[in-house]
Amino acid sequence: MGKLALSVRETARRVSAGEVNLEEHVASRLERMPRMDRDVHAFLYVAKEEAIERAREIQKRANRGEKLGRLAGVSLAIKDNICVKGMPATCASRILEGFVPPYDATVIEKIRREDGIIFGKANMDEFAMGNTTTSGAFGPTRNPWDLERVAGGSSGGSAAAVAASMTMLALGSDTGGSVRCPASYCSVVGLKPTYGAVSRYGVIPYANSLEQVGPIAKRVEDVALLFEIISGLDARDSTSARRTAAKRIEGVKGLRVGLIKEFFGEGIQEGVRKNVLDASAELDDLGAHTEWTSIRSLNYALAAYYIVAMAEASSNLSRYDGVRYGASLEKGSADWNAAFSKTRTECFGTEVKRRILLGTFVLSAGYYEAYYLKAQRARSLLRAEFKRAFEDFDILLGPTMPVLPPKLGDKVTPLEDYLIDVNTVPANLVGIPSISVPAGFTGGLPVGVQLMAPHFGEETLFSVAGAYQEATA
Amino acid sequence: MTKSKPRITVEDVRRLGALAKISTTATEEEGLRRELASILEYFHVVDQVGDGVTIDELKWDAADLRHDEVGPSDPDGVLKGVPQRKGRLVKAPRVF
Amino acid sequence: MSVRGAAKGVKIGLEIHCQMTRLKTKLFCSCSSDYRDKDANELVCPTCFGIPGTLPVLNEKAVEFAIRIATALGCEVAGTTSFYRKNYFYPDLTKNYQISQYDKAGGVPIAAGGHVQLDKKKVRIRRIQLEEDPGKLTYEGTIEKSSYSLVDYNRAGVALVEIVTEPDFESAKEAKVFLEKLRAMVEALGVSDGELEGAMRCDANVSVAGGGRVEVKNISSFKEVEKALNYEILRQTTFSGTEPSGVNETRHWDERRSITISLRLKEGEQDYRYFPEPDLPAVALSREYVASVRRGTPEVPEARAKRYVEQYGVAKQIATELSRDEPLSRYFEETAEIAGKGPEVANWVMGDSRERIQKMLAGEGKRVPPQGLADLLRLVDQGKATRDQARRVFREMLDTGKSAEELAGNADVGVLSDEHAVEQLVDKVLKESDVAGEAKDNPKAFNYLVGQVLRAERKADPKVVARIIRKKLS
Repeated sequence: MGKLALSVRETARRVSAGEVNLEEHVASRLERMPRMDRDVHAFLYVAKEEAIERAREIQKRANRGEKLGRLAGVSLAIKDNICVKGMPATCASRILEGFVPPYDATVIEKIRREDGIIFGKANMDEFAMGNTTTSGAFGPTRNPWDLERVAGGSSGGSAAAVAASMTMLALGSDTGGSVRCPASYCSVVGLKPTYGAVSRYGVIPYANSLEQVGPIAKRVEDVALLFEIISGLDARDSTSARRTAAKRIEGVKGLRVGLIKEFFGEGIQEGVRKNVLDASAELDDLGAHTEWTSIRSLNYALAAYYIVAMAEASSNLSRYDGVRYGASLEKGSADWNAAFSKTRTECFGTEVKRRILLGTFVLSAGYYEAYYLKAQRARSLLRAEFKRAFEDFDILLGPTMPVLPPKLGDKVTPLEDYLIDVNTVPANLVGIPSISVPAGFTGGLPVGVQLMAPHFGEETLFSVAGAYQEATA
Repeated sequence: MTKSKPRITVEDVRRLGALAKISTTATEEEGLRRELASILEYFHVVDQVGDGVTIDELKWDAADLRHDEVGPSDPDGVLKGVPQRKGRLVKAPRVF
Repeated sequence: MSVRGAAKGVKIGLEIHCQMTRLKTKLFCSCSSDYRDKDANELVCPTCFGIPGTLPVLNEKAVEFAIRIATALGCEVAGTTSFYRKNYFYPDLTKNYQISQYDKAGGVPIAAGGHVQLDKKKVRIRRIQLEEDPGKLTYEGTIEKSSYSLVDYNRAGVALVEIVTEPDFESAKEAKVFLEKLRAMVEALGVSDGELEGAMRCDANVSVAGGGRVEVKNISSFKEVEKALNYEILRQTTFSGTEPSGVNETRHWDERRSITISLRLKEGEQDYRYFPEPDLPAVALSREYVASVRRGTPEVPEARAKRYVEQYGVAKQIATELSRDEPLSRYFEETAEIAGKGPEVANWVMGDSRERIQKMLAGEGKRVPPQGLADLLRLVDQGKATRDQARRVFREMLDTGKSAEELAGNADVGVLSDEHAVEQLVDKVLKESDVAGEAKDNPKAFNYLVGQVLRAERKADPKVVARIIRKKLS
């Protein structure tokens, strides 16, 4: 791990021990931020004053010898769909321009309690709909490894901030791969937790039954620590759950790994395939036992995902009408129908509008059973198949993304774009945890390998991913 | 509904727009129609799933629900973000 | 045709929205639900205001209260119930969807299938469901002149229970009676102060002579209900010839002009796109839970009356009246449990002595415990006192606080068992009375004769006297 910067634990220790002039350190980093971010554009909002003030306050407590939190002095980028009180939350949409949440998301409360320092709000695809971070209203985020390419999405800003060392940690949200995709494209570690493990209170929703806030960092151990801090049952989120004791696997020796055949389908770029199979071989060298397996219902997983996600989104986004927050309605509009339509039509981007219309369709009278209910049934089948697979395997493995990071400006149809999510959406549909870990480069571009475990099997993921990262450092 | 290709028309696009309060220009409508049609056609792969499959659902015990105890409101925090107000009332378009 | 006359083939169904005003907080957040007389937008929080990122959290007491209502209406409570989103845009909705319940497409409302017995009519309850109230829309001046509306979200999120009946009402009057009964019931259940402004609202479905079903909305109070329904019945009856029948329509009750106005729905129509609320898991209502809620539910008069008829054999009319008086009911029950004579105790408690007993229960004068009354009744049972005597003794018990035994010891109490002596008395009375001749056919005269005998001898048993007189007359 010599090449990587300090771990979070080490940083927090140094800050607590008074070995760092935190205020100066933070101030100088934030001073350089605009220059650093000029090309990448990871941030929509840099919280300069707030961060320096936090640093000052933490420093005071350190000087007094008080015990500090586990994130003492550690910098974080927060995806702009997560509410931080007093900081804008736009979801990269014009319809939320001017919206400043009057409350902190639960995950933010937990970060503050551990003395983490929020450097700013990270760019994303508008309302988390996308896998490139190019659809936002305030410009795209570029891949720090190749500025001509996308950073991935929808948590592109979060992943890029970490990859470019602008912050140590980041929070994203993963509805269909939105943490794992940018993690893969930016060569960092990103986790989508078990559904319900992390509170969604304060996370502006795209699709409620699919998404989770996910930690992003360069090291697996830092992702693990951040997950530990942000997870937990929350009375304010009725879908959050108490962690049930999952079978924890320590180390890689004797680990049963299943390679999912369907994840290595036709659309996989050759460089990606090679790197991921190499990663699998690496695990075998460490003592794992790998076999191919097939999960047939993956055939309709992507369709099921989009039907459910768009349906939920179409309803979640109804509240944006310019009356109570965000972009304002035109003054003196005569007809309320026209007024609502004008605001929404002008302030939502193309992709968002497309998904709202599709979601409206699949929920509408006469189509609800054929689409939405069918998709939910498909989900149950998929869940059952994964459950069976986990009887034979401890970990399921495959490429995170079937492709290398595309170039900005590559034209694809909406459907072609959706198809790229094929490997990441199953974990969201089923609710199991999934982590993307860097699996080297090919042709100068990052590849990510995806590991999945049963519900609440995050510890297993950290153990295996950590061992892999250590071995390949 | 039938298992055949969904025939989505420009009328449908307008109807959806009316339900979702999103308006489309004539030029946009045909393009949207084609996009939606191709995506919906792709969705039909879920037809493979039988209607008899039970849908999983999350469940809570009634006894574990929130107690009926008053907590703090936040009128100032909430009103601060309202774009157009008249005193403490929120301004909205007139409804017939 | 007269508005108040009974129109033919009238079918009315009601959809009542009842605020559960006895809840302290709203349905999905912890804001106080006591919104009347507050400043606008005072009882709001990020959740009920619909601020992005907030989540609904269900109020347990709301579930309990809904089960209380369901029980009182004889409905079956679901084993699992779930919430659905009803999607539509309106400025009084903070999320442009309402979290509600649904009875189709897999949705299960909290209760279904009960009934209410009105005097001669059984009204079936289709379903009961929980949902949130929207905010309130107002205007500066009049709607016509104002270029915008003003919204107060204090009420947004307040818990409502929706009660839907089958179209079993055949007149506006029946509907009104039902509504008043329902209001008394939700008050007795401790769920709602039905009298509060806006606490109970009602929409109606009206059809006449098999014609189209018309939904009448915007009825603001129970007083307006009868007017609106009568108007609509008249309108449908009068105009049924000119309008196509079988057309379902929505109309709006205009209180000012006392008419219903058609709301022409926009083409594309209202499609609410109901789907399960993904932020709320389904709620499992175990048998134990429902049983414990039932145990904690105040008993409504209807249920009590029913129980008195079934459990104690009390006559229906008496049970109905008795059940409305809680302290008196308790006194009756405690006595009946000891004496084991339901009908008799009920007659006693509801008879001449009723007022004095009520006064006693309110704390006036001496107390006759249920045991005391039971003892007294036992004396009558054993033939040691007549009913008349017992009534007098009871009055004395109430005055003096002495026991039945004590007071029964005096000369006035006791039954003359010597029939011969009674016969002699009867002979005397018959000889002296001028109505003796009529008495055979005239019940009034007959009773008079009995009374005369009793006056002469207080210890005579009226039944025996009557028997002997009858024998003598025949």
